[in-house]
Amino acid sequence: MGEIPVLEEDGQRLTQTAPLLLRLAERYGRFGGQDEREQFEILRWLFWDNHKLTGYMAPYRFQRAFTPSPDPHALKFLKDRLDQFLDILEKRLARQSFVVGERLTVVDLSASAYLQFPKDESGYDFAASHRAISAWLRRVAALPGWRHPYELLPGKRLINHVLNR
Amino acid sequence: MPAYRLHYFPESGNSFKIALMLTLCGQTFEPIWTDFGGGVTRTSEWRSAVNEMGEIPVLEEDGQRLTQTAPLLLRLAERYGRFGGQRNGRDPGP
Repeated sequence: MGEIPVLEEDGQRLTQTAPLLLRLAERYGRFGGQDEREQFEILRWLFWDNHKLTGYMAPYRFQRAFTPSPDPHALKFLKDRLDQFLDILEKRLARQSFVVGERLTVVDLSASAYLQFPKDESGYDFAASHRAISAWLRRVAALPGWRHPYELLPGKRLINHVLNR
Repeated sequence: MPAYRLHYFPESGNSFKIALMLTLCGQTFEPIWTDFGGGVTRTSEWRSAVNEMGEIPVLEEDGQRLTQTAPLLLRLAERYGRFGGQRNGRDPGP
């Protein structure tokens, strides 16, 4: 598939983040659904995140920050869509603590991940633009053992062209 | 047999996936044509009444509104024992 991440488990290569999160949730009995209804809601929002929120944030951020000369029309298209999806999430998180309900699930880990990177990369300052999302990001980051992406994933970094532009 | 209602528009490939899966599983559904071209799925009324994600398709199953095509396909595959994984030793389909 040409994609990162790839997780090797005892030498078996596994890919696709959402199925991996579900597999780990089931194996370790954490952050998964507690009944059929909740399990369906987890799948529903995980897929929404994958094809909408993460699905647009990942290419938007990559084009904006890690591409030397991004196409402004492509950036605008991605950002206009992304703003609509962030609005859906903002409205939902204004009503409840986490994406599926009052309990943190793999959906929160998935949907928050790209939003936890430094704001100079995406250009979004959620504390100013999306108060409910910002408060939710702090709740997720308060999870015991949570670590910032650049602490958890060390190594040589891509050139951030926003900082160099 | 559950009563299905499918909110769709004809050009929606995701609606086609659900309609086809239901049909192949021997199920019928009440089609609810939705004015996607007219922008109804972008209205706050439709979003609060049908799907806050603003997306088609929506499958109603005995009145319960369910969305997201892939989880729906998996749910139907498990329910009808067709076209799914063989974890439970069920018929994997033709």
